[in-house]
Amino acid sequence: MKEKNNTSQNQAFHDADSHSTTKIQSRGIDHFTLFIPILIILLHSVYIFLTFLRVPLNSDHANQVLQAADILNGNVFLKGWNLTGVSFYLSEIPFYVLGTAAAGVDTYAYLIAASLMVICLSILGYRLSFRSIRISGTAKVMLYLSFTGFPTLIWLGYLRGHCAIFIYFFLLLLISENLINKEKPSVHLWILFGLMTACGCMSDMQLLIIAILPITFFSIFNLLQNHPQFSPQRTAWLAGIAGCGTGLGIIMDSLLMKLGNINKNSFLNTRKFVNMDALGEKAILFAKGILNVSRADTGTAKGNIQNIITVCAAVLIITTALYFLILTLFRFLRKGEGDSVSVIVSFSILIMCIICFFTDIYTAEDSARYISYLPFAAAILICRNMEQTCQKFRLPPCIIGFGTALLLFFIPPVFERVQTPQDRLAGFLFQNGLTDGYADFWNASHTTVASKGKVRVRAIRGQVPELGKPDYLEMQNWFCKTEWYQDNSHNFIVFNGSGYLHVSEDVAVALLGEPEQILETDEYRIYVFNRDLNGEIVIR
Amino acid sequence: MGKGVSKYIIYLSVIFIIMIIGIYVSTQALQVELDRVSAEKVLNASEILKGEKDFSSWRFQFLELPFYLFFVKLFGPSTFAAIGTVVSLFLILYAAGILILRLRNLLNFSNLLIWTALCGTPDPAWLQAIQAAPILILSVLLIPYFLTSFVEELSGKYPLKQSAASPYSSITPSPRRQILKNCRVWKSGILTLFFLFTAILSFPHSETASYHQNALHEMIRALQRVFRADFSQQPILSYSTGRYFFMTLILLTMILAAVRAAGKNWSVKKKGKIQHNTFGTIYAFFISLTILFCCLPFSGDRSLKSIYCAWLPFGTAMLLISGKEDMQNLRFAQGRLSYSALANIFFTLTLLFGISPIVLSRPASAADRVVLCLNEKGFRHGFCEKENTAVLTVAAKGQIDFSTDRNDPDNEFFVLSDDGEQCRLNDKTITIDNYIIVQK
Repeated sequence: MKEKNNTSQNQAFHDADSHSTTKIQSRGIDHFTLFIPILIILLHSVYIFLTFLRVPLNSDHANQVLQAADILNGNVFLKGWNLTGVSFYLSEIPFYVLGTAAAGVDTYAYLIAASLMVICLSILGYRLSFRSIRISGTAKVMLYLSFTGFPTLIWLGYLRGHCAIFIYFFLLLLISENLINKEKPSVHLWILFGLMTACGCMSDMQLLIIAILPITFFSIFNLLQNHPQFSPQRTAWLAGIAGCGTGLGIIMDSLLMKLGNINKNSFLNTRKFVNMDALGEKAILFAKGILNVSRADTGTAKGNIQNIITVCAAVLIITTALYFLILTLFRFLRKGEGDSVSVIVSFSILIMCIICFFTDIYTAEDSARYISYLPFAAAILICRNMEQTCQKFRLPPCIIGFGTALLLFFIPPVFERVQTPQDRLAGFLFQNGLTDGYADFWNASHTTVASKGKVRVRAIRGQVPELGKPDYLEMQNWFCKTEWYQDNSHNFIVFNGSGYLHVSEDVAVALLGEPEQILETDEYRIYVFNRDLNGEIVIR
Repeated sequence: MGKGVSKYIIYLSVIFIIMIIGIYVSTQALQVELDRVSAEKVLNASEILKGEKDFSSWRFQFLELPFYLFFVKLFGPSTFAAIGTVVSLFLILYAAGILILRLRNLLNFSNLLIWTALCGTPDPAWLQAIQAAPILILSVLLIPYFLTSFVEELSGKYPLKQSAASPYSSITPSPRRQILKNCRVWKSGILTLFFLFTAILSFPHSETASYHQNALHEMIRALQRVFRADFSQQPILSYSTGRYFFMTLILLTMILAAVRAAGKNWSVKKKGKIQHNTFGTIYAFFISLTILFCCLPFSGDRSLKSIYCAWLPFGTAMLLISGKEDMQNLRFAQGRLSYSALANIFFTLTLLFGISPIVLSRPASAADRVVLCLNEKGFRHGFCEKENTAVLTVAAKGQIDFSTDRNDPDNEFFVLSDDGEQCRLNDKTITIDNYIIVQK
């Protein structure tokens, strides 16, 4: 009965669309052609790319560029790499392969990959925000972009970290919506769902938290309903295939590690629940993170009027989303009512926030990358609930919302990417004939990519016991390739005064002796030796 | 199979379960670190057994004395005496709960499962809280039962034996004269008062006045500790995560159920009617009272609040069991799944995940290592601070004499607490955890 209601509701939306189209066409003003929304989306995509020109590269993404370059050179299984706790093999890496194929080992490879991911995510988010299958409705696009358009630089900086897995999540939502609501979904769709789950879990286990667990909870609670709106068999199959996909993903990940002889650092195995005595500080950190991804900058001048307005806007959106989240879950759990996408997204937000709050997965400001999809999730919740209430969106209020977002968050586009100290360092090193050397993690691969591979700087760290003399310098076994440290002879070390992981001048002098030459540029001091330092750096 | 046969199967199952739980609790009790109060009880019992002191010297809860005498006689004045006592007292608490269920006609496999899941798998932290005031916990567990009987006898409203329809019904209240002649009223009333006085007498308190600004935070941590849901700084990918999840859910359910049930009772009481689920309501009232008391800044630190809250898992089990009886007719999943079946699945998982790591030998505590160090050096007499004397004496099984006189010329060593001050008399110091051994 409820399935019939759901189908008839969808039909009602379709009818409302057609009816409003006819009515407005009769006025001679056609707001609902495909052309305008697509144009807006295209312009928005260009805007995203141009905004990304302001978001500097860092060594994490530089290493992904280098991974992509290695794949394009034939090392498909990333043999010899030492990865972080996550492989990103079928999530971020394909985008970086595209970017590197287009631009080579270059900062633009990162820019293409990162902006492409955010654009895909944005388009999928728009598709999910409204039940109507047709991508139509200028009003709908403007409403959606009020919440997610015009991202801040801080938000983009967080979003680029795990963007591809959020794409997986939205794709799974789309497929699951079809599987649940279509009369006869094809077997191919089920297989696609399972394979996508497997590929996503293989690449980044965050999918387990944001997608698999919510789908499982949705299925369980639907099964327990006495008058379920969704077919119990289908939701059970959905949860079952999601579970099997997760298992398959773990197996695929293990196979990849064996095939490529890849060393993956453990991440989840080392995570702990938070110290409960420090929950207060955690709450503040978490709240800041949510505000930062909601386009409120909590880091800059507090007295700034624009900042205050953006914080208020963020709080308003967060409160609205929270209201719809509670309403969605309440209706679903008590009465079994709701639409599958809203329910799963609500569970996803809830589970992700609980895990981030109560575990040390979220420990610092940059951990906001794990929750950077929340504005899109909030937009989906708000738009879907409004669509259910209003059934038709009037253009003027949507334009006002869009205009407000434009006023508050629009960043004037630039046409040249931002220059970083590592760009200048790369140029300086090349000019001085220094092509192979070492630095701390944040200055190593970033400089390598900035130089388009002409200068190869590798990450090292110092081992210094507490209150003792330095023991040795070693390769930093994190997101690197072991053969980098064995191939060429390295004869310089770059310092920037931060002493990150004991990569400092004192430690270098204590272990390697005085350099033959010291060069300076910007904030950097470069120690140049007349010998190959390879043998003096411990390789693990 | 007749009702009689199934009744005997339940009784045999109970005995078997108590045996298994006894073995399991022993492995957990091995990990409980001996505290000062328990050590003093062991020493006091040892002195009574030796004839050095008489029974009037027992400064603690009188009902605990037989247990300490028995185990000190068995194991000597050692840590094992304290372990034996806490295990036996825990089993008495566990069995007392089963007896209450039996007397309330609530004993069946499903309720036994709930009782065991919540109360049958203690961890060392909860046992440590129980060790401090077991008689208080027993009293608070029994008071609601006797109070319920008293109220029901007084009002004349009794629960029917379990039936397919509502398990409760009401009959016309008896006239006052008949109530006064009803010896069951007197019996339940007197027992209620007896256990109330026992609870008051065994009420622990801090020797130093303590006022905690973060009383609410401390109370939450204490609740987590007794419900075995203290996941602070524990790995997220471990077997115990399941326990944390289920026990946190139960803890939250307890708070909601207690507040709801207690609130309902107050509103119903105003109209002069008595809530038909008196048993559950009274437990809810006591649970609410405990939580409110522990919210106060004057109720001590986290350790003391843990002792006050140590009875809550028992009380929660009673509350949930009694509440479950009211929901027998609920069905889920288009009628295919009953509330009982769902509860059975939930509590089976709670029980399975509730098992803590088992050890077969007692890990050496800091006090044990201090004693080992002193034995290696052949020391037999020395100074230690008053708060450590009992623990170290018991750890040494009485073979080393610890004096509280710092200036005693026979002192061969000084054992000091590491409170940050520099206490060295010479360079011969050994640090073991928070103890500093200074050789003379």
